[in-house]
Amino acid sequence: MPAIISLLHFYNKAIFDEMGVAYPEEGWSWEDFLETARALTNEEHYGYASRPDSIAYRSFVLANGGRLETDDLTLACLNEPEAVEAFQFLHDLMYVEKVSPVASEMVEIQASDMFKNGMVAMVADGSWMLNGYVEAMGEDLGIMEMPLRDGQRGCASSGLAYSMSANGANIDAAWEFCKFAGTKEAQDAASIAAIPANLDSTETWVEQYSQYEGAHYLTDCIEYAVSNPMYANGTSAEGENINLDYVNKAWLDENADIQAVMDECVQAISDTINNAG
Amino acid sequence: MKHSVKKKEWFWAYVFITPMVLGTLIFGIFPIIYSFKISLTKWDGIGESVYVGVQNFVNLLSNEKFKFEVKNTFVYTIFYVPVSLVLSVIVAELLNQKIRGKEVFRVIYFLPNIVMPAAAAMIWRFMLNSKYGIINIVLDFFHLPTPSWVADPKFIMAAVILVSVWSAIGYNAIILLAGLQGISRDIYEAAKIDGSGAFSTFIKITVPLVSPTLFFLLTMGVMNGLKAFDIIFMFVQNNAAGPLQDATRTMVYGIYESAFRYMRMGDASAEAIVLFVVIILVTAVQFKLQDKWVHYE
Repeated sequence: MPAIISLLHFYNKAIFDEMGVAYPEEGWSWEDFLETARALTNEEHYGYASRPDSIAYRSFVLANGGRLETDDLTLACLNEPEAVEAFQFLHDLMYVEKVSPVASEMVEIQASDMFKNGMVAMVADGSWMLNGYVEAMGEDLGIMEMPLRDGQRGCASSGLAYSMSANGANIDAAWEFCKFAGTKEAQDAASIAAIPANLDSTETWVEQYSQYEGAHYLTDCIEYAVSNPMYANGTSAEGENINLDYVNKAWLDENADIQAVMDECVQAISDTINNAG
Repeated sequence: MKHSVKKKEWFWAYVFITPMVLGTLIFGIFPIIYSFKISLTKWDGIGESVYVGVQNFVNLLSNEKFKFEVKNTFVYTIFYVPVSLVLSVIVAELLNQKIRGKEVFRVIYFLPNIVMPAAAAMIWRFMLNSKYGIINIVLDFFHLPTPSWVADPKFIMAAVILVSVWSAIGYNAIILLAGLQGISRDIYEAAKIDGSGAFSTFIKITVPLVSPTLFFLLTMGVMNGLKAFDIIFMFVQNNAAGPLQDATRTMVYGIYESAFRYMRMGDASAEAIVLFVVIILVTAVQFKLQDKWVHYE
């Protein structure tokens, strides 16, 4: 596996300074996070962009003790109480707490663009966005781990891998290349684009961003990260789309019944897994 | 002697059309025939394909997304084609008047056609933004409702049709303008002498005489409507899932999704075959009906 991806919390230091709010600290809780988001919201900007996106919600579901799927990959678990509670928390940020733009606003302007423009003070995003945020915001960018729930961390991670055909004409050469791609030499070269999976090279990657105090969070979360959901019978991509469909449905509806929507979602994913089997 | 000259001409004729014929065969005819074969199999695009009979077609019928796709494709076509044709006829007629600077207007109306659909969609998305877009600022000025066009499932199809019509008018109008200019001035003078008014001249003389052009644009418009993809993809699908996607996904989008996101070539080919048959049928009906209203001189 030549590359890994982690999820983090990014914040705009300029808005924190303007509003006189302390920067988030390691080990911060959901309550701290909510207080911070409230304090950062005014007529010009929101505290947080609660996007209907797996990038953001997975970490909250996992921190709340929820699961993404069963161990045998045959059932999605996003309708379990822990997951529903996490979704409700994120949904309330828009419609109850009003510390986040509502879903329709985030359809019109993407959350990451709002963050770059200073329309929101905090956003959850993947490590692959780091370079874009550094370019757009420079020293104003802050990096923090995702907030904790009762002391529990949650992080979903995914990887990029080289794969080779099992019955190709040049299997040996392909295998040699894959082995080379995993060495420190090759991984250092690739580290400009993504976090290298070779842990020696990971340091090389973090060094690029050493001027940011929170840079180490980029790789710290790998230790407790859970893999993105996988579903049996090769339906991971479709299952992920179904997830997004239903989360978006709940997000666009101010009065959504999260439990009911997620029940439908899990049912739809199960149908897809079974039909493909 | 004469015979061999003729033979030589034929030889060169074949040489010149060979590249075109080969291109059509390899990139057009062969894939069409091959997708019939794929539609009867389960295939991920790389590995072994498994013959499954008509299972892919049966699956389509029970697929909720497919129902949205059929409905959206027809709604889109039913609004996009007539609206763009009527507006194109009006624009073409206006551009055919003796007004100062009409060349400039012709260029202005044709410009949308040379803008890339992707770029047009991005600009329109911004113009239709509920808070910062120029459209809603103008609507608000006149105290009209300001819906959130691109983020409300009730309005997003209307927004997509608006953009499609906007980009189709220029091309249609230029083709129609050529048709209008082919109409002899004598006919108009005769009508004027007989006391025909501007409106009845337009309905009774102009429209019948450009009807072959209209027929061409109608047939092409319906085909383009049924295979709508690029503007919708750029306009919506990049930023939406759930209700917004269901409100705009077309059959070609369904084909794209099955084939290139889920790697299910069988399902994608089955849907492509359904669309192929629909287009053939609709076009055949149009050709049948043309006797009723198209006048060839």
